[in-house]
Amino acid sequence: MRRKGPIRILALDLHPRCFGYVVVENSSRLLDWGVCSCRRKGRPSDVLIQRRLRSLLRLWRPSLLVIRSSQQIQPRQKLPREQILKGIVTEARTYRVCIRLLGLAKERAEKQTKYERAREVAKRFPVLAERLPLKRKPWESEHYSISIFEALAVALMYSGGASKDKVTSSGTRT
Amino acid sequence: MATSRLNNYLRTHRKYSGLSQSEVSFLARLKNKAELSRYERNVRVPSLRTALACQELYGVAVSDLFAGLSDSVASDTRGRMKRLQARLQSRIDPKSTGNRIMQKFQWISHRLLAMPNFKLVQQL
Repeated sequence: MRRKGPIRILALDLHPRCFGYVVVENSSRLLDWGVCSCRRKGRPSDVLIQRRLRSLLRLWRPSLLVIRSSQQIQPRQKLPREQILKGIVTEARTYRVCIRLLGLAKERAEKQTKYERAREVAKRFPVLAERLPLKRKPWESEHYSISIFEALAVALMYSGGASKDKVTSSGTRT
Repeated sequence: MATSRLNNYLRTHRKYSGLSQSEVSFLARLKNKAELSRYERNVRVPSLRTALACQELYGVAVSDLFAGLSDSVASDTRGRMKRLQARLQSRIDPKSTGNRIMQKFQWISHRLLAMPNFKLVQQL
């Protein structure tokens, strides 16, 4: 197929009650980034998808949705994650977006931590350097903005081309 | 898989600047941040004054800030120029030279040739 314009990728790093997102154009231009969360009681998947994700899809009109798939999911996180994924597939179908689920296999093999990955990404995109959190102590919880860097790492890995063999499963194409 | 350029890249440039919506709306002389939000979400098209203010603010040309809009306007104008060229061509009298219709036709032809991605459809 002949390329007519830029390829926009929306990458997500999913968590049970929030997700980090980045929008990348042609793998080199960072358009938007942030964290969307829902801290209310009840089902967060509805708010995350219908309010947060839908507005992102409407605004940026991506051609591809890349989601970071974590291989070590705790049993209590499994159900909310599946609910969110199901909702995302429905939304992607509505907005005609392809979905790819990607694991950070190489980084895991190299035993790279999230902080190290984030630092590498921040070097490439200096605009994100100010959002890079300090290295956490073992007793501290993860900083919420680290998911922005995780999402960007996944987007870069996908658009880098070398990631084709690491695609764990492909989503639907509508 | 390729997509067209977005109508505007206001949000991207604002995020790169690190400014908030209320700060940018103050700088661009907008009423409030809701107005800027409407421009960023492509709900409204800003006035020429606001567009020029954004150009000055971000240091990016208006055609790059409103890339998608610029592309659509350019292709529309090009199409209209081709239509006018065809209309003028039918009115040209081959015997007389140097008339105003010929002059207009030549000017439009030169402009179309100078444009990027121009396909020569009609031969003189």
